[in-house]
Amino acid sequence: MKNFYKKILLFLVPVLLVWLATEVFYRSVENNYTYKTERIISEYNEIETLVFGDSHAFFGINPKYFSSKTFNIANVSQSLYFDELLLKKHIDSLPKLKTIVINISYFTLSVVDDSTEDRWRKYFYQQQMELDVPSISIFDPRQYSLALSRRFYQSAELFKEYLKNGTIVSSYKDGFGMQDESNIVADKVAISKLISKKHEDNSLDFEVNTEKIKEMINSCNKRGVEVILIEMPVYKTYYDLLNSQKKQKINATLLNLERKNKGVRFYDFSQELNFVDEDLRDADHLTNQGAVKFSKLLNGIIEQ
Amino acid sequence: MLFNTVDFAIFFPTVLLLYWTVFKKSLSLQNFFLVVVSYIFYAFWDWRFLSLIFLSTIVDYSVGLWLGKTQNLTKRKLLLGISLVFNLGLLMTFKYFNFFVETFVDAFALFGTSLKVTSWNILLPVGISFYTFQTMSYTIDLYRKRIEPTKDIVAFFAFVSFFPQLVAGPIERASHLLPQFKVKRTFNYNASVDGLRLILGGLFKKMVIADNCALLVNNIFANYEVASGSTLFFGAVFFAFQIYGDFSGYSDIAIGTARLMGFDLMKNFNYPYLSQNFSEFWRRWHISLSTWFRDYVYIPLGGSRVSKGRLVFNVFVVFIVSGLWHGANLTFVFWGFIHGLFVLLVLLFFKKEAPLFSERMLPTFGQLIRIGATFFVVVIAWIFFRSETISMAFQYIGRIFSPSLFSKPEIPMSGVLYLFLFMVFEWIQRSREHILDIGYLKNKWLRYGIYYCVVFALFYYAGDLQPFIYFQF
Repeated sequence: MKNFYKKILLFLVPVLLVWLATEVFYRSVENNYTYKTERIISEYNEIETLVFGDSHAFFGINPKYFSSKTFNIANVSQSLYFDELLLKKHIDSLPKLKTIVINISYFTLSVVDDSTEDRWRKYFYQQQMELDVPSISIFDPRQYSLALSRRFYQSAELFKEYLKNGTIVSSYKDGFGMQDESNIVADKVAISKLISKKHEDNSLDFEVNTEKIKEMINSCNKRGVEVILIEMPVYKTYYDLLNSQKKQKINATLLNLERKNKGVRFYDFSQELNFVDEDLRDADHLTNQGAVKFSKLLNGIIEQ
Repeated sequence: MLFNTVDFAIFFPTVLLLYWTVFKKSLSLQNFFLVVVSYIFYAFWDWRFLSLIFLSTIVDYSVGLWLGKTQNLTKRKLLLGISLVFNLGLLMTFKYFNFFVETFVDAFALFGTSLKVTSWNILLPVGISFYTFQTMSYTIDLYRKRIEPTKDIVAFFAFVSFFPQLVAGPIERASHLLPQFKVKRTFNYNASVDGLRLILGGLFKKMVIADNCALLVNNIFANYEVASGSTLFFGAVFFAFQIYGDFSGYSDIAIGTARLMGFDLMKNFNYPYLSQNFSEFWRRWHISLSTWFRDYVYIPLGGSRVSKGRLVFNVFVVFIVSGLWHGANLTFVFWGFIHGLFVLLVLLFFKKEAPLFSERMLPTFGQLIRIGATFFVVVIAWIFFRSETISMAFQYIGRIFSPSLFSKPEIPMSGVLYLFLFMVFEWIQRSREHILDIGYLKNKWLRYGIYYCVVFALFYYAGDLQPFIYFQF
């Protein structure tokens, strides 16, 4: 039996070495999570506006075009679950904070926490954004090893990107997302069909996520911070293909939050006519040009 | 807890180490340890449903003891009835209640009567169809006096809850597995090495084959209304490999895991896509379930040695019940019906068994045609299995057989090539125990090279984590 264990251990040595190297990579190389945390902490005393949300906000709201000092803490696939945790972590350290912007996408209110596709992210939020994430069980070994939390090929792809670019950070200093303009989708009708299906979860259950927005509003109310809820511009075909009943319910829920709470404003820009094809990268993300346009529009509203 | 997760990668080696060291000294202690870790394993899904396994174990253990004490036929029938009613009752309540209520309401609606019956929101306990069938086989075999009742309650608890095969089989018979809990297990080096090979091969089938196919299948089935016939055909082929990789991968890991602990579980898959007809397919696919239905449903109904009319009835009963076993949906019933139909055709018109594969390098032309034809019908039948409704399945098939069948499919052709290579590897290994049964290779470096290639593929080419399909059954 000893021989058996010895051979297994020998067989696993290369695997363990790869695991160790991956772990070192994640712990030592700066990424969006570590970078954003470092940046927000360094600007604690200046930030007046904080932007929350998923990739739509990350690539679509550029703090450079705001008249107040703004930081974009949105991130790819960031749900309200992490928006709320991030707000709670940072709000008391932001003495000048006046406004927070929360982007609500079509799926934001119905999304279920801990989806398989993005489950790995919660370990990065915990380890690298220093959040206390309740959905991570104390028995979950991945909280101790970031290399275990992601599929190896994803880590390898990231490592290749690091070798090629010298960094894996895709965020500017103000938290705005860098995007490669070479991959703008030409056939927006086709991508709209695909993405609208992908975003359809057939759920009208908004209770859990509405509660999270309420919690965020309460935290802001205590500090006299205004909450602006927004729906960002999307491609017309994508918008038309979405479930109209669900869209109505989303708007009704957000309007209700606006009516029932002090210091809350809601704006639906999803079909803002000023946004043309060139402003959209695909069905639901803005290009850099679109982001400039939208950020100016949003700034005007905040300034009102 | 899924086999292909970090949780299991920590859980199992820990269990194995304790099993062969701390708990090695006493058989009862080792069995008790297996019960505890099996319950922990199951509790990772939902600890509340442990009560069902516990109850099922207690009921069948008690029925077993009483069956051993009485020779009175009426009493024996009554006792067997208690076991069957209890186990089937669990299944009916947790798996089929809503299906029967909805079917009942739909049937009345056909005649213009609208019934107002509300269905319940019932969670399906993972693996319920597997462990209830396993425990039922115990009481049925006792009733038939094929086995003796066990008085060792710990061994019986371990038999019902044995974690490698608790949630998705193989569905073991008491006559095969239960005695293994009563004899001292000794560590066997060769069996353990083979167990590891089974686990590695199983993980490859699940994580590389099934999970990658799943991504394509989900996309194609979600957009079947706009996809071309050729794309839809390959979508169904990918699903055939997804379900095969998923389920046979799980079985291989289960068998390998058990082997490392000194247990021998029955083989569940035997290269099913190399079958030359449907009858053979069912001797190679989900063997533990098909033999269960053979022994406890088909043969009691009279089997094949009956009139043609009765044979038709027997075969359809078995396959429709088998379809229903997979899920509470008419799609599964229809899937079972198609398989029943083709098995019947073999039984009625092809008396001669398909010739066995010889040692030759390549299959004969006739074998290739038979394998291809069987695979084609199996693939078409899988469309019913994967579709949400019967009408969706017919629409899907209708779109396959349209002029666009001859257009270029919108799929990664590399995927087709990899699956072809996988089948070539299966063909090479067809007479071996499992796909990674390469102990016969004399060259150690070649063996280790293959192991590392598989490990590399697991890490680099694994698809996104998907739940095992058969857990829902």
